[in-house]
Amino acid sequence: MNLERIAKVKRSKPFTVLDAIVAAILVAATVAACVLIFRKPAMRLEISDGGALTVIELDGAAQVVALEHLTVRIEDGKVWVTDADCPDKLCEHAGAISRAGQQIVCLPNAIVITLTGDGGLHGVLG
Amino acid sequence: MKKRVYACFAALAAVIVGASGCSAVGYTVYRPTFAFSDDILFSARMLGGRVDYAYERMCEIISDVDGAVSLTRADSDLSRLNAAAAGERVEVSEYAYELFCLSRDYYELTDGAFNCAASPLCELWHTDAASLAEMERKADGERVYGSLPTAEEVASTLAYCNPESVAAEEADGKRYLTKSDARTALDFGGIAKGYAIDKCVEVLDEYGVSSALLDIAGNLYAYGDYALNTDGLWNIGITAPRPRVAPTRGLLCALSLSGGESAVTSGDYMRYYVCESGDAPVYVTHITGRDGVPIGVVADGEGWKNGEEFVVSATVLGESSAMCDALSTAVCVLGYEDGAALLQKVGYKGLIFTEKRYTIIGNVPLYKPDEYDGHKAYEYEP
Repeated sequence: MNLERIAKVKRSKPFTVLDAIVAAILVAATVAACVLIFRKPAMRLEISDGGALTVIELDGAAQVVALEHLTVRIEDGKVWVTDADCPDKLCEHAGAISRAGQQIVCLPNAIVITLTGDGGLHGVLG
Repeated sequence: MKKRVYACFAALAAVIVGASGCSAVGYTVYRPTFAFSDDILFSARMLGGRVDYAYERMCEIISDVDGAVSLTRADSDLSRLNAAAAGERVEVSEYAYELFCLSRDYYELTDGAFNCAASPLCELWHTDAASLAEMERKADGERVYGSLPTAEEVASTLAYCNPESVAAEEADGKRYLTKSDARTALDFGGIAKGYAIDKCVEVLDEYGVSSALLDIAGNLYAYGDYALNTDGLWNIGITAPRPRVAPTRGLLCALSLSGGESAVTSGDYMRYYVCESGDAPVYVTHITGRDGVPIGVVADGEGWKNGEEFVVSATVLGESSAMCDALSTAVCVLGYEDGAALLQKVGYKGLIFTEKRYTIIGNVPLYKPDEYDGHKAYEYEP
């Protein structure tokens, strides 16, 4: 009995294909977890118009987002509004925002444009 | 044996994947929506319980508080009171009644610095919501207005800007407010947002919400510890008061808020206009001092000019958001030294900034002070 088991253990390969697969999955999961946990939080732009929310990752590329009532332009980390169809055009006069927590609000069209995601602020006072 | 090893690997893998994915689960975030007569933003993030119902209920509460104290709605309790004659008993809702009683208490507590009866002065100085909105429509950049009142006009208006000329009485389950001078008018703008947050917090428990951050137009309340940080703290920024023009302001600093704490900031930069009739422009803000003159404005011969040093941003932390709201206004009115003394007297924490220096009252932990370093432009005084 014991001899048989010893022989079986001697015959078995120390590292099977299945082991290799499990090890590979573990390595991949660890790398993915590290990337998710330690990645630098990128700035995000959130455009809320009453119901719908559009989220844009600011990856450094210039972008033009045309909405029904106004156009949002993104360039060099700055965000501003052009072509607003509201009468007061306060959102255009507001100029460019570039730091987390800053907002451009278009009251007549109930649109709120917010820069967020700079490493863990949950809210802004004042 | 091998099975056990696989089981260990699988468990480890599950832990790693779980840990990396935990930022994806958790708080339900409710984006800013317009509340309070559609010119104030309400947003929230909540964890646990029936969050959708809790959010809906809070929106109702905010809308009801607004219905009681709105000055743009002619049928609100407050509009009816303001329009009433002397001696006329005006029946009001529980919210309007409680807000008045709280405001009267805070008037006493702050030695008259928090004054809910200052709205005739705001109208005189054109810093009431309607006048500012009118200037905003015409403005290209900053709001501008042509003229300022005289010292005599201020003195005669100040005579009836006193909450003590309004009597409150409860009878047969109904609530009444009565003015003794027809010209007296109330405005709960300096307390209603904080009060509404306190009312919202009262219902969170009913819906099983375990952790939440509520935000009504920059008045914040942290309910419970923040669940995704080991320290349980909520990190919040404070808007820089300068430059005054909104989008370029950025952040003054960031601080950590504990569960059960509210934080409210008041400042001269929120609702103001520029008067360019004299030699130098005069910045006029909506926060009115005990002398009937907006903070930061002082007499200059026959006219007015901006003072040397005054409070430009006051943040107050404490358990009642209504009290934080009232105290932050009171600190701006009282000034740097007296404002700090008031916070120490009532045991609330805070940060007070003038254009030159700042001080911190109580233990307020700054969050990443080297990253959020706007405060370094000011001189720190312990």
